[in-house]
Amino acid sequence: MGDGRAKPNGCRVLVVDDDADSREAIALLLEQQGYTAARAENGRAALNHLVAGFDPDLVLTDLLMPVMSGWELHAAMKERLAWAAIPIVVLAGMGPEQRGQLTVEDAFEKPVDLPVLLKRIAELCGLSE
Amino acid sequence: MRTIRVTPVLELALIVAIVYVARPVLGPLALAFYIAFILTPPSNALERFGVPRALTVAVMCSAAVAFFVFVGAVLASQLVDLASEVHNYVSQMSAKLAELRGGKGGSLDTLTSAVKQLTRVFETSIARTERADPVRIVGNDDTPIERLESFLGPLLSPLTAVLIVSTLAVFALARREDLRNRLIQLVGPQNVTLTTRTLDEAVQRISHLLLGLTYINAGYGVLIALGLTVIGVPYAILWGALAGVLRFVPYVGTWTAAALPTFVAFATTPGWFATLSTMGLFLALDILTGNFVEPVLLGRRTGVSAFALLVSVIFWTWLWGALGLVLATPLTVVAAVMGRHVPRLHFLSIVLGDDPGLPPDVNFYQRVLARAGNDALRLARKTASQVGTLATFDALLVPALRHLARDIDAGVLNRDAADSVTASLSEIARRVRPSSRGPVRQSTTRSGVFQSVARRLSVDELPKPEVLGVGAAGSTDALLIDLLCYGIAADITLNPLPAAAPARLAETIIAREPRVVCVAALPPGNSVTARYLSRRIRAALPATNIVVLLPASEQEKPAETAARLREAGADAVAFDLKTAREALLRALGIAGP
Repeated sequence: MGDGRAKPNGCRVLVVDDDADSREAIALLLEQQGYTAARAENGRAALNHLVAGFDPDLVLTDLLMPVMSGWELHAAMKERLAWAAIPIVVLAGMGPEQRGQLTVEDAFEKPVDLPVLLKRIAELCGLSE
Repeated sequence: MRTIRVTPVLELALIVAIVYVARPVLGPLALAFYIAFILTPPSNALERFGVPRALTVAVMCSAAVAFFVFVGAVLASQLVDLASEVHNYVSQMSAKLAELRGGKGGSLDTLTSAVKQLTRVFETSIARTERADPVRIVGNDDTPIERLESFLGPLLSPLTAVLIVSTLAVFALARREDLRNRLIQLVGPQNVTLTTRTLDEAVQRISHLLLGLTYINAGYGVLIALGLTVIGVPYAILWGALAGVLRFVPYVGTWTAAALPTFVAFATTPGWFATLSTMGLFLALDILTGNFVEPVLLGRRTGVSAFALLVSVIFWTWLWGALGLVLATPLTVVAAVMGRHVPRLHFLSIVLGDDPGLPPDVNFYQRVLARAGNDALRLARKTASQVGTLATFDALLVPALRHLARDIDAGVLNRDAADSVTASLSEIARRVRPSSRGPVRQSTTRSGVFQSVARRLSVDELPKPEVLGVGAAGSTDALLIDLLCYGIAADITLNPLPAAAPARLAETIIAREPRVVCVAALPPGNSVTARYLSRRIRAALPATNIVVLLPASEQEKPAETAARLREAGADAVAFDLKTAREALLRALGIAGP
């Protein structure tokens, strides 16, 4: 690819973060890796994407957000059969104690080690073992 | 401004009250339209031969009046005769029963004494009438007009009704196109084509059912009258007319009509021949009409539920008396047809129509939900006997799983209730599958495509091709795999993997290196797991054929979901078990049907 982007891999990731810079940076990084990334500034916007039929292979979310937090988004997704199986990865500026009990596939603390994050996303999407 | 909302029950009560109060107006009107409706086909036939409309109407109406007058006169004379003979019949029957009496104290004795008591009551009543108080004759001061009035008074009302009905019928017959056009104007002048089409269809259906029933029942009445004449039962025409009218009442009508002539035959003829022949005549004609004539002339279904018709007969007879009894069937048929065509009256088609109350899959799911597992099993077995196991699973159990997923998603069912439904469905599937009817040897169960392959290769004990079956997530997906496993057991052996987390499932599949794998995922939630598994398998086992079973409904964008699964590595995506079987046969190199 001329712009350095990888071939589309067919995976969709929904990036949820109220910090626009952080959100945009991760989304662009994922797009460069061949993912299709959708952006949402809070849990409510993320749910709107899901309702609209975006059907992601993974949701990457912050926890502390205005309007609707990551915890609330997590709870809303686990309530609906249509979204309950979508893997969730938490990317938050807090440790495990502050995150509390969450049924998520993985959780990373900001600042994140990007190669490790990308490797985990690829695993959860079935792109690598 | 305040608006007053009338509840549906009040609305219904108001309509019933109006129909009751307006009987003198609505009754003749309905009867006139019914008569006009019956006379329309012969009128049309005459007009096709070039007979002018006015002459056609005159001929038809004269014929109808002559027919009614003739039949009315015959019936009236027979009725009067019967009324005067009833007393004799009761006595004759009593004597006949006495002859038949074997010993004292038997049931025949009891019956005889009951009849005797009845006769005594009649006799007392007649004697009382005979010993009536002497009438004091007073001078008649009435004017001739008053005397004419007292003579014509009782006749005036029925004569007026006959005149009104005849006039209305003549107008309805003569100006039928004009009336139709006015109705179109009234219902939908802005969309003449649609209204005309709807009206034409409605009229066609009503004609088909109503005229069919009318002519069939009239023929039935004529045959009964002829048969009773041959047998020698008195008042045969009266019984024939009664049978024709009462046959509109399903189930009970025929036998109500049969009771009186049987009674008369028993009372008036020696021996049992006439009595048994009368009953036999009704039975034979009813079987012949119900099973051969009606299905041929009207089709298997009349479009109106028999139960609704019974209720309707009771309702209209209560509301309008004898006229209601005659008009109940036409009115019910009209109401059911209107319900099919007018959206606001759709409830009428549900209540009165003979369509099943619920679609089969909803009915099946409802039975499972109501814990009426035996009903659901019966329904599944009945369907399986008609269309086969795999098609039954596709028609009933897979939709039930979709209904279940939708109910869980809507929060209508909690997880425990959902697990209970899944367990019931699993049990039903297990009991419906062909092998549940007895132990089956593998070498004798080959059928269909695989059997033909086995013959071609001349290999007797060729093992069935194996496929690895994987439920993407949860018990519903596992059940989907079970359904497929039972449904294709004759052709393919499907080895299900035990449920596990997606990553663990992927590792197990990759370790087994199957030639063909079938991943089942119930939308909307589990397609994400199916994509995950497809990617993992495709990356690790490029030669493995991946078939995804994804019973998606139209709302779940099946084309888009299938495209994404193919992009993830699936070779085929099947939306039902039948297509999944075909895809698996193709994947195994056996051409599907």
